[in-house]
Amino acid sequence: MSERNDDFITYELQEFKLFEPLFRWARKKSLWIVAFCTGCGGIEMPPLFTARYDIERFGMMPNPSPRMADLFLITGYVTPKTLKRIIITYEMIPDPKYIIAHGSCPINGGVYWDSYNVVKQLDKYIPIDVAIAGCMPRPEAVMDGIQEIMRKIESGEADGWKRYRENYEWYRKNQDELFGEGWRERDARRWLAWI
Amino acid sequence: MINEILLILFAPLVAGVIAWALDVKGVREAIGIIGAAIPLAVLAKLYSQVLDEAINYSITVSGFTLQLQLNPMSWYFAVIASLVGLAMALGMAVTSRNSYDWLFALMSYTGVLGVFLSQDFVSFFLLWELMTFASFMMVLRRNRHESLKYFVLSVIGAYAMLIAIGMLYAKTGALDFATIRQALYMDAAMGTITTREMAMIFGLFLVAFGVKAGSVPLHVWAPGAYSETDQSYTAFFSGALSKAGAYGFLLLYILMGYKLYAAFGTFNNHLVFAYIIAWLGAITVVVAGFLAVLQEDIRKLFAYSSISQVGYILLAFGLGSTLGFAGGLFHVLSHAVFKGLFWLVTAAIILQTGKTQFKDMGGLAEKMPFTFAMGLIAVLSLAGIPPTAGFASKWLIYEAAIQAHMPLVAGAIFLGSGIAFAYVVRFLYAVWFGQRPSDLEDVKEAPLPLLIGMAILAIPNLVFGIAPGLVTDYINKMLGGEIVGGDYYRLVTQTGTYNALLVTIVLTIGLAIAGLIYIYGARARKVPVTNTYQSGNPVTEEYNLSIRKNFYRPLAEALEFWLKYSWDRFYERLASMAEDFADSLRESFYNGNVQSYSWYLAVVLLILALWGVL
Repeated sequence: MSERNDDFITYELQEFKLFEPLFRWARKKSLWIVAFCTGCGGIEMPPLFTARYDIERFGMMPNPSPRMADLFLITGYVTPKTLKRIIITYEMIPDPKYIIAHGSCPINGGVYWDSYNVVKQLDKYIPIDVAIAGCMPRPEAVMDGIQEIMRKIESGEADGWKRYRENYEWYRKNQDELFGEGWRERDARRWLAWI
Repeated sequence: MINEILLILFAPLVAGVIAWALDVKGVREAIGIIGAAIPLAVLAKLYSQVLDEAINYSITVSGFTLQLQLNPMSWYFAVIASLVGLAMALGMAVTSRNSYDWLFALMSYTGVLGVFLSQDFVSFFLLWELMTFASFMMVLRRNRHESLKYFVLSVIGAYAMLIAIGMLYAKTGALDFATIRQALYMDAAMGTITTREMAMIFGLFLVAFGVKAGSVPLHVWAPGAYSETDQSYTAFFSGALSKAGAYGFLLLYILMGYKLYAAFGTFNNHLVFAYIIAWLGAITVVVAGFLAVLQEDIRKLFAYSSISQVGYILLAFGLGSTLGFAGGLFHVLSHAVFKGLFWLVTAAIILQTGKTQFKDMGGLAEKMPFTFAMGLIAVLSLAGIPPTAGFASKWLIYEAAIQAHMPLVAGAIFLGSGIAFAYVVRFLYAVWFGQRPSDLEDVKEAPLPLLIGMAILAIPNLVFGIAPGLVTDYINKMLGGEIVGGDYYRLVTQTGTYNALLVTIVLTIGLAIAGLIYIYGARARKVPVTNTYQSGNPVTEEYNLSIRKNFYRPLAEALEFWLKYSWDRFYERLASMAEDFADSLRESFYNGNVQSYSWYLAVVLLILALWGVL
């Protein structure tokens, strides 16, 4: 992979290229979701996991740790303050990782299209693999989105994590335009005065 | 040619005196290390000779015949002490500040060897006192209060022993072990010594040896004394000197086992006196273990841990079965090597960082990798993880406790092992892992002599862990009989088998497979310690991300009721009461009033008159 982004894991196992289809099959069959609920969609998550719709039958599991997860559900509008946390969490997930944008807000701002405080186009900041329109989308729609990401994983089309690595400058530029350079350190240090 | 026993015994003392008198930096260290190495070398040379025939030396001084003997048992204890002694000397070569340390450290080395070699109570007591005095002087240099606490308790122990020796002398007319043993063996049948007298002798010896071994409730000196001295010396203090107490308990069995059995009888098929020792050990293991978990100072943690581990030895001896003795004797060795190693690691940490509190440390594994590896070996051994010596010895003690049908005592040692794991994890986490405080960026690896000392103690941990048969074979010869069967790599008791080599091989293969999966599993990348999940929040080095204080706070809260009671506070209060009493005596009797002095005279005359003297 390119030298400029050696911050990120180069995931492809050259030694095991032959087994790539097996790995893809395994990946799509056990998608673990990092439990990061944003916006109103957070309340739409539990019905998915519980008895009625039960996406655990697809091998999906909500998980509190980004290091163990590979699917990131953005479940609603994203404010710049949340986006910082989303970016940090996303970068902490090991490759390969996938994002499903859930609801209208991550796609185009939804009803908050004229808000000063909602990120209108999430894809400018982190790469989205599958977007599900609706406000809120029915669980059936979300499951459809899940089927779609599974299909994409199997065919290798779900390559958001590659796009993020390869186009990191562009994403970084967009993030910095929104938050200002050095936002991580600045945001961390803002609490030190209050300790 | 001078007798080997004298060479073993006095080489450290002479070296210490020379080092103290010369006091040239560099030379005194060299002399000290040579003096500490001589006993080990001579003992190693005498290995096969001792097994054939005991080596004796006796000298008559001021009407007392001092008898020293190198027999299989004293050889075993002495070789352990001298192994730790050599490691101590290597550690002290960098941590000691002056010749004073060398004089008293090596003096206590002589004292400990003498206690193990003595065959009569005169030399035993003399060298016991030498050992106590020298270790007291080591502590006195750093902390007066702690050293006095140690000294007063040791003196109470020593004079309890003196009274017991006096009683034995009055009853048997002998001071040498062989005659006392013979006389008490005969007396077990005749019963001229009453049960009450025997109970008193036993109780006094229990106090004497309990103080040195640090058994609860006589352990209060240990945390202070172990911390407030040169930490390299503590390797010897806790690794070898506390074994003098354990050796004393063994001596009780050797000298008066039959008589104690005859005097006290049995309880639920256990010897009553052994039962008492076993419970002393079990309580020590649990109480000291819990206290170790809650410490916030690295030295205090290891001090309580040392008390707890010596509790295992007492407990094993208290089981009263030969397997119990074998386990206890093995644990003497493994405790000496892993706890000595722990204290040398602590010495290295304190030397290089200058800090002792857990809250000031963290992330040192990168800075001191070799010391970390040594600390890890000690941790594995203490927590009883194969293939280390600590596992083999604890396994034998478990086997013995289960065979002895003592479920509660066995439960206490299982609990003690769980707690031991908890506090070594605390040590690993707080010192080696996590975020490194910014003032520890310049920490360097420990100096070479200290590392050699650590290696000397780490190697037996692994060698006797992989081949525990080396030790049990010797213990079999020492105790006379096939107590623990098997070969070099296998331990076989009546109820179980531990194949250390097989465990090692399986462990190695398992680690190799895990390593392959790890290496080929993913391209690992190194991330900074701040790249950690703080619920998605950005963090910098300015945030303290490691738990450095109150690590086991929920445990402390659960134990709140029990922690209200403290032996430490009890003794402090007792001491202040004694002090107040002395003050009030002085103020009320020496009151400077001439008339009251004449009244005293009048009262004495009155008493004499009533007695009919006048």
